[in-house]
Amino acid sequence: MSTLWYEITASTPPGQVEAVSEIMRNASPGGLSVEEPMDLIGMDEGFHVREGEPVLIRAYLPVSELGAVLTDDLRTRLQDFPGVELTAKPLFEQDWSVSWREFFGVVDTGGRLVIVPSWIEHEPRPDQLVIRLDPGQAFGTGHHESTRLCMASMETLVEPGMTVLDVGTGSGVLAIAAVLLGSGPVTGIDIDPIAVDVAVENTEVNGVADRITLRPGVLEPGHGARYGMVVSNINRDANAALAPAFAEVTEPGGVLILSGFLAEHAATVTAAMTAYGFRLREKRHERDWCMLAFIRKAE
Amino acid sequence: MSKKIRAVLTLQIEAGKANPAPPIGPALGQHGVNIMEFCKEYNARTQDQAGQVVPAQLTIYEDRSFSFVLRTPPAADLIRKAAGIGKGSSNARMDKVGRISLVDLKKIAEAKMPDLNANNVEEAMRIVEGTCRSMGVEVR
Repeated sequence: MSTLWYEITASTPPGQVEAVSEIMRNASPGGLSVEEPMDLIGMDEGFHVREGEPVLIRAYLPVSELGAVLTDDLRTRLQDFPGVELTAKPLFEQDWSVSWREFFGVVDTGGRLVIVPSWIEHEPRPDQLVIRLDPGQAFGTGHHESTRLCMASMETLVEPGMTVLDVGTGSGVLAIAAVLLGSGPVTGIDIDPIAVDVAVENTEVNGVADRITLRPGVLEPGHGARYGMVVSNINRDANAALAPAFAEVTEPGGVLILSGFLAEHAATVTAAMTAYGFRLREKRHERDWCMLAFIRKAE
Repeated sequence: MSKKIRAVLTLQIEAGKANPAPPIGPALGQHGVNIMEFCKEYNARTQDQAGQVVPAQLTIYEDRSFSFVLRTPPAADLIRKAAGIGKGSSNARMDKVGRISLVDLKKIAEAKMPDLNANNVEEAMRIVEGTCRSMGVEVR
């Protein structure tokens, strides 16, 4: 029989969060989880807190004599806070160090590329290209449509020896995919230095570190080099703003692959790119997400 | 890489002591976050603050990757330090266990401003004062 825990949730007015947290921390020495009511701004990397609404503070107490005493003590001490509503629900003990893995399996992009986490044994088909990658602190696990869309397009557009620039490389998954598909040297940049560390580790795990140069930073005018393919899975506004930079770093006749935006915004992104000498070559979508591939016109 | 957010939550845990037990296991497990990766990184980034609660605000993306930033220690920890006491009162209405000055109160409120739901220092001071009351710490 697994050990039981009680998950105690205190729905708390915003002004009392500090005081109520202190009381709950005394009963829950392992710590607390605090969830503010917020609206997620899906497209633009942000969120905002809904002011005035209750905050959910969660404590975890073992179901035992000690747990019962602590729960009673908690109820007594929270009587001074009439705005706080307490609820409790049982929770079975499990091996949380590995149970999160149930959300991850082999990601099949529908073509030759597959993404396989380290804990899964996978016998690839002869034509399959396997990327070994564990989810972590950088976007690009393969569990988002935009990543898979870029990979599917790269399968048809990467040519042998082609140089590639991956803008916003995240986990490095697209940079690794390019090398496995036969590209030449790949450069990956990301605004987040932690993502770059993660990407370096992933290129090493996949044995392609010598083919990929990774560095923190943003794509700026005067970047210097030109590439046969530029891939950028960021978001609508960032991609649109980078149109002049993309024109500068994409070779004439080269490919520009963009994703990270919804299908309904494809027209906006397309207009931004055509203004800088790109011609739309391919459009794909999965659920609401979209990928656009462009060819840079000859100068 | 594009960052499509799935959830945002804050863990109030002790520096250097993150492990898969509650609250971290159930809070992050339900979102499919790589728990050991978070624990390893949190412990490395907080190892010099042993003994303090250092909250971590996590942003979890749609593909279940994550990032986190460290927040200021809870007001109660700062109050305990300023009052020179080990813990708050178990009966805050009856037993007063310590005292801090108005200057201390303002300093704590200013330190906590970035993480409090307050529009100005006065509002932050009122919130911190409420925490003092609930701990049995007087402000004079």
